[in-house]
Amino acid sequence: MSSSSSSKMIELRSSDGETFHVEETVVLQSETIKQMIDDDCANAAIPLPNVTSMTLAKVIEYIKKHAEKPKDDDDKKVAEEDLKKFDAEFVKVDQESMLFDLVRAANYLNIKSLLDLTCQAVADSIKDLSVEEVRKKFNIQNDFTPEEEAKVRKENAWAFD
Amino acid sequence: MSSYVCEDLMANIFERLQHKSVGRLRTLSKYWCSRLASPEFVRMHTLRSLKKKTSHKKVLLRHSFKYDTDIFTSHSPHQLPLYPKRRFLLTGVELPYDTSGAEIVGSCNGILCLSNEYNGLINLWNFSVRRKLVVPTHPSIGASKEGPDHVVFGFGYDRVTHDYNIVGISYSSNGRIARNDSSFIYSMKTNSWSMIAPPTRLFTYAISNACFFDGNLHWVVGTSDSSNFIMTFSLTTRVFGTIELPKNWRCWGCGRQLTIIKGRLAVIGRCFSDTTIWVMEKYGKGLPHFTSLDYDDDDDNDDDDDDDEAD
Repeated sequence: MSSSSSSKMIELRSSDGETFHVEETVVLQSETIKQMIDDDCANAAIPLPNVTSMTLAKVIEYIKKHAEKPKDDDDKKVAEEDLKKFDAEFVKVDQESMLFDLVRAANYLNIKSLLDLTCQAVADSIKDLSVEEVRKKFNIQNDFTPEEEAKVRKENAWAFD
Repeated sequence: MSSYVCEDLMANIFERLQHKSVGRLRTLSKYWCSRLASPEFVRMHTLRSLKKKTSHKKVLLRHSFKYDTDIFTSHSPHQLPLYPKRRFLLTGVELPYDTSGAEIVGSCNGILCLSNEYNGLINLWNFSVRRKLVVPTHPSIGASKEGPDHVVFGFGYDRVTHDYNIVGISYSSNGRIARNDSSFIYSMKTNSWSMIAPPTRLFTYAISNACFFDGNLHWVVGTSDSSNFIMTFSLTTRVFGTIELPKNWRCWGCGRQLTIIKGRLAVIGRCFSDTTIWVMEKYGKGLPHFTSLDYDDDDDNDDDDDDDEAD
């Protein structure tokens, strides 16, 4: 990474006050931060009041990995495989709340590929859950009366087979 | 509340689920019941599942029975049963309403458009959430006593406005001049019909069903001097056009159907037991150029047969 030494460093500050120094080229994957840099608002540390240091560290790990550029075509294939493995491992987090934190951070920072990756991971984790379990997980209030619920369940009976 | 995510993000997650899971999640709450059936969600859900490598194009086969409800089964194109009616042990999907007498206008992104010429009813049916939308009656149907003899429909999706459209052109078979108020377009977004400029070239009968290809609708139509041509309509520019059929077409006045074969627009001509297939090379560039497709009767994988089908 010798070429990176010339890249400008951007300072990010998490909600709990920790600062991170990231190369500008890496951090540009975030549309939100890119906009701030374009608007010349990135001279001091960029405050990210919605992202904790733990989440931000993960996000930086992700964008750093995704900023690596393969040297040639042979390398490209290897790198793609490597990136796939990295992505698969990346969403295997110990705590589910971390996955949701990452979804929110990816959305706030507007990093499309990370949003896709984390949303897909959540989708995979809920695909076999019961309706009640999904309600619990997303904190959704069941506002149907028992009669209404029976009716809508009957309408969608094909999905419960 | 560490798992709190806003509704838009939840929708983003739910869009990635299989349609059966989405069907179950419609029972989550009132809000999700309606949001998961909204055109916007359905569109995103369909687009996402099309992007996935695991999803393949499906062919929907319709099985009609004389005294029974129609049943639809979906198949991968290379797994089409040769004799669908005899092999009916597949799990079918029954439409929750009567479809007998209804014609398939077309299908797009998993949404099926059915019309019934006798009562003028048009329904859009979403296969993935098993929901139907009743489209308002075409304005020229029942508008006057001597209303149109026929209305020919087409169904497609406009990539520019992200809207599903139905085009309905009314015409009379006695060769009367088409009136200006004969052509209408339906927008799913506004759930209403609006008038469009009628086709520039007159026709007296529609021969084929509509075929949606490359943003345009196509119909084989005929004129009173029994010549045939393809009438086109662009959903983006809302302008009608024509494509001439191959000149050395052997027989006129026989069955013609339009379809898509390996990413090209194709005309299937049927005359008694003879079938000719023409595919159009280089669509939309220069003069239409059709080449006749050689096909082997034993190789039915690429041939479309008479069954009403849609992808």
